[in-house]
Amino acid sequence: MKEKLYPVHIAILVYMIQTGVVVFSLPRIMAEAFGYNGWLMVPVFTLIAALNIGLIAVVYRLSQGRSVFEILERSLTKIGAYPLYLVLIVVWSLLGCMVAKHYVYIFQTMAFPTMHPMLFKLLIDIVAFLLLIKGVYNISKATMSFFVLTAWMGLLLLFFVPDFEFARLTPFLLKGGTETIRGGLNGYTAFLGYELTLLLFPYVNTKKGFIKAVHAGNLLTGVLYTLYAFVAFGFYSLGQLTAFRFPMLDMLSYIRLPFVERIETLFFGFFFFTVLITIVMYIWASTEALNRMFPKAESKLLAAVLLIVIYGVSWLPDTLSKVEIWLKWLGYGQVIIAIGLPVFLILILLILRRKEQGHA
Amino acid sequence: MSLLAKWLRPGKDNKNATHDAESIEQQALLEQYPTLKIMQDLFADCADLIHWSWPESQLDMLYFSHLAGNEEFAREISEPFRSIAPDEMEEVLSRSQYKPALDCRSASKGILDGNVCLFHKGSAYLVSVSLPETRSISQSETETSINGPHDGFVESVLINLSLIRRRIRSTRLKALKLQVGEVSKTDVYLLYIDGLANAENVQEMKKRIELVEIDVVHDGNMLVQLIDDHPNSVFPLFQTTERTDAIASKLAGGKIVVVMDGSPSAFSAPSSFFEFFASSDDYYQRWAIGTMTRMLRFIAFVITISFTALYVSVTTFHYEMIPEDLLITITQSRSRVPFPPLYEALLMEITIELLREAGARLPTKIGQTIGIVGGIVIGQAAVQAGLTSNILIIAVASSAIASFVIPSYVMSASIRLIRFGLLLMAGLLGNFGIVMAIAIIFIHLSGLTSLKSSYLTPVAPINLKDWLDIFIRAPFSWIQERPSQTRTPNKRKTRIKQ
Amino acid sequence: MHNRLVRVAMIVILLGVLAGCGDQRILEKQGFIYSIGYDWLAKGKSAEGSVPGNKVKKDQLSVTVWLPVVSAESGRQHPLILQTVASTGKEGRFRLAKQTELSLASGQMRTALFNLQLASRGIMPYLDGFMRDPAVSQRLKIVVVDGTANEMLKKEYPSHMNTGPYIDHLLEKEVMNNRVPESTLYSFMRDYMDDGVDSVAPIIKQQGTHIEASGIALFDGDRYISRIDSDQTLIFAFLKGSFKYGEINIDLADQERKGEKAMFSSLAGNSKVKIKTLPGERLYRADISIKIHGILLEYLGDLQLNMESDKERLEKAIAAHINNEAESMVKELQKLGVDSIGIGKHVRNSLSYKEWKNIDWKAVYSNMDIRCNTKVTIQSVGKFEK
Repeated sequence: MKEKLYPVHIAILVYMIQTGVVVFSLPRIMAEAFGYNGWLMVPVFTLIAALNIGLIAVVYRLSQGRSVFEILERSLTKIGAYPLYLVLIVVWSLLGCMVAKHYVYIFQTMAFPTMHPMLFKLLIDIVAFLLLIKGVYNISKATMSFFVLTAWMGLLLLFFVPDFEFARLTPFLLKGGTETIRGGLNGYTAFLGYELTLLLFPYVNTKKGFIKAVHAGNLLTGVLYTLYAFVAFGFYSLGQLTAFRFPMLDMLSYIRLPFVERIETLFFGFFFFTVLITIVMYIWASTEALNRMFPKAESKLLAAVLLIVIYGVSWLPDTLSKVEIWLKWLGYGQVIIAIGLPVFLILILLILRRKEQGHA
Repeated sequence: MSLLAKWLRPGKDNKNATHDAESIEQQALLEQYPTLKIMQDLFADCADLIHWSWPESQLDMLYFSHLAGNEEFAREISEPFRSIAPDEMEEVLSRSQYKPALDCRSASKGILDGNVCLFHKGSAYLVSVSLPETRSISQSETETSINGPHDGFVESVLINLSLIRRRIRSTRLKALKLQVGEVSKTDVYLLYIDGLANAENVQEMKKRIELVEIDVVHDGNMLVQLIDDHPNSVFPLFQTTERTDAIASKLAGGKIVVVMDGSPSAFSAPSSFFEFFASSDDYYQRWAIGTMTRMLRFIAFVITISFTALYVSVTTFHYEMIPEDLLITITQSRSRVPFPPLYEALLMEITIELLREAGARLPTKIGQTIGIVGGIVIGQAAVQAGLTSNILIIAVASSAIASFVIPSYVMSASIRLIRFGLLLMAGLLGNFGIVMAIAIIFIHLSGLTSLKSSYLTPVAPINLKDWLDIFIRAPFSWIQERPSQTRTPNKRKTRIKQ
Repeated sequence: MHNRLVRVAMIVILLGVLAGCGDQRILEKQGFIYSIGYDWLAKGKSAEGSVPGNKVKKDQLSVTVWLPVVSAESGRQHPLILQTVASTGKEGRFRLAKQTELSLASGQMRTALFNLQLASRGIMPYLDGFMRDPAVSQRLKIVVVDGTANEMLKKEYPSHMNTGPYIDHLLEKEVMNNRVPESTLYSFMRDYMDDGVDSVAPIIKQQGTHIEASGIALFDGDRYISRIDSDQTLIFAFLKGSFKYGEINIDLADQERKGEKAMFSSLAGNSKVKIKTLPGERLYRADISIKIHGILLEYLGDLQLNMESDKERLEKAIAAHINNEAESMVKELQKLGVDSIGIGKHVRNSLSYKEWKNIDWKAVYSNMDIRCNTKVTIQSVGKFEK
């Protein structure tokens, strides 16, 4: 019995892929790029992502639930699709692995500063591998439970209500930003992840709810991001926001409960769950592509090989800022893929359809 | 690489395809028509087998007297055959309780089940006189109830079946009789309610029980491990219970129940991880109280796995998490301890486990003494001697107590085991270690299935309606549907489709 | 399938064993800095901690830390005070660390004390270090000391064995009572980096055998400029925004009511700022409307408070008194050029971004027309009416 993904799973999966460590710097990125009330751009980004999902919806409708790879191979032939696969694999797997390394570096700013980051990374990769080999259905189940484990953290925002001040938000709209376009792109990478739903077509249970679910997941991300950014903008002054590397992390450390305080290490730890899903899904996507290139190889072995290779690659950037530069470029690449791939697929599908009609 | 892969993926055991329990010769022997001679050979050296012979009426009988009840024996054997003319024999033996035995296999099984095997003029008959000694029905020791029914299962499967039948008086309650154990030949009954249980589940369960390859099965908890989906997982995948009311409610929920002869533990399937935190007592309380108790158990779960781990993590790596008012207290209690927190915590955790095990293996009265000696004397002395801090004692004790709040003994033991994993990870990697351990646990849990349904239902796949009867105990009128995990063909509780 | 899990768990634990040990910060091996004090040592003065008799050759810094230490032998807690002289804060920490067998940890730091001389030279270099250090709490209290932090931390107070918590709790209570504004690392930095408000911090002073909150330090940027004395601090709280709790003693001498005094308690209320654009030089006018209500606990005078009309007269008198004080405080602040109340935020919010960026806010501020309008409501006059 092959289990299929239900719409709820897809929505949560999309949310969990999208949510990553970028949340922690998102308010700063927004403040730098758009200045006063930069948080207002977060809903705009959500909308852009939604439009992009619209493209995916068109692909889904045209493809009638066929796998993206099948479509590609049908028009480009198997060999023709290989270079494309290679690009996808490189971008996706590196993105997954840099997200992990980024997480490690941020964690190390708080605790374990002298431990070798690659050791941490190895631990994360092992856990990711464990999840990866269970297949996408079980990944979605784990995602669901991780979601339940982390969802309550939204309530932490209530702690900032007493120090929140509307006057600090100012009535200026998006004024005083620098490097708006580049910064905006950086901010947009926080929304990436929905494009992986392209690969989920064959695993979907119901035809109807799929796209709605992707939109719902994106909306959830958007709402939460907006809330986080909004609170951060009213809690910190703009100058402060741009000075903090990870404003959300400092916000976490401001929380004090009667029995425990400075919970940032623990709660940042909880973000491991969402980061893990991001990592696993990107690597899963590249394993899927890899599996297309080597259909006979066992996918677990491919996953292991892939993880080992990118583990090697991830030695290269050895400081937080280098990792961030890598992530930035990979993010740009991913933005191109997120928009380009669906457009490309739509073209192919239209051509295929015309051909079929011509034959008929 | 391949070596690593191989090492990571342990090879499948080469199962011995041949079963030596019964040699081929014996197989052939068992196919034969039973005669006194062959049967006596089969039971050679069984000193407790009784052979009665009435040469005047050409009647021989073999049976185990200790399996026979006096009354039954008198009714079926003594009275009909006491003063009987030889020509009346056939007539008596044609009564329905005397079943002709056609081969040695059924004849020998009959004798072992407590039948008398009668031999008359080359024909063999079996008549049941069985009344094995059993424990009287009493309250379960491991799952006590405060204001619910107090009857627990006993070791006799027939009594257990009668207990279940008394609770569910329906023709729809079906019982399939199966057998497990090459040597022990234990009777196993698979119960389900027709129309509520998923037929595929019934078939699957039946198949699994039939395919069990083992010589002897002693208990339901043992059988579970032979047939569940992931025998190597630390978590119990089917819920075992000794409570009759719990089993009745599982049956009504569309689950399959298996009862086994010789074991007071029946089990139901499929089960979800969260089901182990429910007790049938929850239903006998007002719903608000039931809900509170249930939530308390989930809090207990969190406390069990995290308290000691957090203590270790905070005192080893994250001192900044301690609030100001506690800082001095905790530092003071740690100041004389010569070990790092991890060793200190392991020492205490192991001590607690020792105490628990010692208490469980000893008679109740001595067990209590152990509790006092361990709890008060060791705890107090360890602190005074400066071996542990008293904050740790509080953490360890509360996590131990919390672990006993979980109603399922099997689950509580599993959770106590994984607690050590968390503890180690916390001692090595602090909060990150804890989170990582939780991630590993949940990855493991999400891969588990119970009778092919997700073990994490109703969280993943999510089903909010089920939450009403899993995380809280909603008023009965709210719980309209049977649990989705059973994939019951008849979801609504309030009516049964014809 | 799951045997693999066991094995992987083993690997994870093994890797964990390899890692981690170097980063352990075991509780009892840490010396938790509770309070840290920075004092300015001007050239030519002799300082404690340096070699006795030696005069300080250049401007230097004295760093004092107060830590609660638990002795392993007795299990008792006692305070430990370390002091050193250094040219920068970091160097100071470095030197202090050499003086103890414990590793100095800043994760439990509650108060950072700066003496007035140091504060007037700017405290940003120290705050910058705090901000960078992930261990330092965002809730670290920034406090200015009238006198030297060293003496304050060193002195033994007869009724308080632990000076660190004494100062900390004192400040917490004073903040509760609105006698001093809250000033944590977070809020100080927030206001420091906001262009519409200037930072403030409480001032504490050692008075014989106790410590008292003696006023509010006004900062321009990170430099201490001036102070508000303790009898005026509540007025400052009125101006600053909403407040929930407080007490004020009022001498109505200036309201032509010689010798009349009132003690007003359980104060609560809020203030609102409205900005109007004016033609001409002054550009903007700010109207601060303050609303206060509270319970009158003590009144010396000849008004009959059980009569509505007299009560209203008293309310008016008190309002006028507070208004006077508030306006003169605002004038003072304008003269000093520090916008501690945060008028700038309101001006900013009434302007467009371009206008705001084009004005020289500091100049506009000192020139602004700021008026206060106070309304006082006496909720009750206590249990006893005469």
